[in-house]
Amino acid sequence: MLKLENLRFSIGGNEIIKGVSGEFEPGKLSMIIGPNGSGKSTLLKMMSGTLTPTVGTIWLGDAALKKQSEKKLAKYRAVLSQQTDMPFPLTVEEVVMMGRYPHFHYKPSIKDIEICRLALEKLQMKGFANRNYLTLSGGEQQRVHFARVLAQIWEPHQNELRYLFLDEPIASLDLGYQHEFLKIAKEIALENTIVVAIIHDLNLAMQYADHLVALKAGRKIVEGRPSEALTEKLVLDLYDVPARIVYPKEVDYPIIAI
Amino acid sequence: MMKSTHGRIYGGLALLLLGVILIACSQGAIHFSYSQLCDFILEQSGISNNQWPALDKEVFFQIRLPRVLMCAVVGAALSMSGTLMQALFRNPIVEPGLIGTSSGAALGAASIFVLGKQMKWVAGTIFEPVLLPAAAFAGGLLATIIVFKVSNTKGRVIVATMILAGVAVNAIAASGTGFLSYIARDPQARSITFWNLGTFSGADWFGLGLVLTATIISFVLALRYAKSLNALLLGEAEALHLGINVESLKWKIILINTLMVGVATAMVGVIGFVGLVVPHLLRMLGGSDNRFLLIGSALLGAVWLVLADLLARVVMAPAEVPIGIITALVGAPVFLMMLINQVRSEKKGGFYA
Repeated sequence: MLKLENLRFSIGGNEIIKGVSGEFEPGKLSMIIGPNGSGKSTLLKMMSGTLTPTVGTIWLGDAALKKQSEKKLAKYRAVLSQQTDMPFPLTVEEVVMMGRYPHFHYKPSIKDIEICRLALEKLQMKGFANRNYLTLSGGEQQRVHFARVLAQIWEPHQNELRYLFLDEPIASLDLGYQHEFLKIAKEIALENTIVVAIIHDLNLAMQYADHLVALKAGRKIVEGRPSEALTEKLVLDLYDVPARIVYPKEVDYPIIAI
Repeated sequence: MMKSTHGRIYGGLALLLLGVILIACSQGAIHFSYSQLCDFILEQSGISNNQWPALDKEVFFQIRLPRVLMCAVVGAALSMSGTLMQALFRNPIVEPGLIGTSSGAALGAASIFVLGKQMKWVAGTIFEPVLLPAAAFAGGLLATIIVFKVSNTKGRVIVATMILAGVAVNAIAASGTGFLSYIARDPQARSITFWNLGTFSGADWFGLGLVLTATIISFVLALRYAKSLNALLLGEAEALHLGINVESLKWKIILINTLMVGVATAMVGVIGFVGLVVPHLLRMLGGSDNRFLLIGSALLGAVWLVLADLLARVVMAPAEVPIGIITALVGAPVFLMMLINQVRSEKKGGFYA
């Protein structure tokens, strides 16, 4: 269980997160939506330990996040950033292997190597292992990093729940890979993992999220199943855009038409 | 890169190092033939006696050999330092000369050159021989920390700020060193001037022992952090998520780096651009894995500086060209080329440092 207890975050006198509480469960793909500047990234960064809340506590399992060592957390919690800049030429294989760093000291084991191979295969990047990371397109680089974070939490560590945080993971991907990405995220959630993703595309949220949290101006205004939480009124409220929600016969999820 | 490729590169570089050491031992103001070198070694190890004059032997063992070996060790140290600093700043154009480590160490050492004689309390104590390297270490450390703190905001190093901070810190250190050479008595001043461009002419076994010890300790420690430094290539937040204590890593790396550069600079002076050229060549050969870069830097850095010193000794023989002129002559154009590349890729929006 991931629990947020009255989180607040201020920087330079501005309060960005104004008291957010909530719970995230394993087995569900949770998504955070909200307009620019609503505090989505800040909230996710607090959950992943990059930022420390000014007020409030985050609970991972039974222990407060700030009481847990980064070294131990790295074995069952992975974070994928919006964009990762890397100025040096490394092979794709070497980048993915970084995901296994928390699991070995000096040399990767045969298992680590096998996990990296499987992670690349899962992202349909089998032929990329020896390619220079710097020569890849933005979307390909993002898939390499997804393979890296998957390799990091590939299997459960000492019966701990696993946690995966994704900060706008699909912004640089094409249509096909966006869906592929979210399918994999959903698959991982089902393997007893807490998955929290920030997403902008409301239709993708409608189609893939099991649990939706809407943020506006640093406050949580709605949460729940997307089919119930995501209403025409919410879209107007969040983005100031009039939207129609339609229910086509051909698919089993509603479509948001702007 | 494949691990087997790395193994082959190490093997090739080790052979190359052996080769250039042999050539460098033989060439110079006094020429030794290879069979003569063989005889020296055999006699020294007590296997045979030979007929070479004692003066030749003296020159070889007391001047030539320690000098060549000193070049190898300092080359290794400066190149490894370049690798470490590039990983820390996440930028391939960083090297100890650029970010003030060398000039800070030079200022520390110069102050001992000039003022050391007045510090009578250390004379004859165990502190006397380590005073010079310790002062160089302190100066180098201070300069590195200033540049790193100024250029690193929120885990990102801004290239322009880093270069300007380096310019400023180098200028402060240079004016300090300049002032010291101004107030110094003539022989001290001359030695400071020489030593600002680096010189191996004073290399002896004691200095070699000191630099070798510092370099080996730093090498072993640095290898332990190679994996963490790789993770740091992804950025500080990503490294943190991979379980690395980034703050403590940064301090350890700065300390290890300054230990090597400080001690080396105290012994042979300021030699620029070695730490830039060597890791750059290695990256083109075998990628950016820091373990590979560290081992490769130790070998290729040694090769590069032994060669540079050989050139310094032979181009105007019997006079010597300061070695810093040669390393800068090769290194500065490489630096410019890399800087141009970096500015271009920044314009494309894909590259930051």
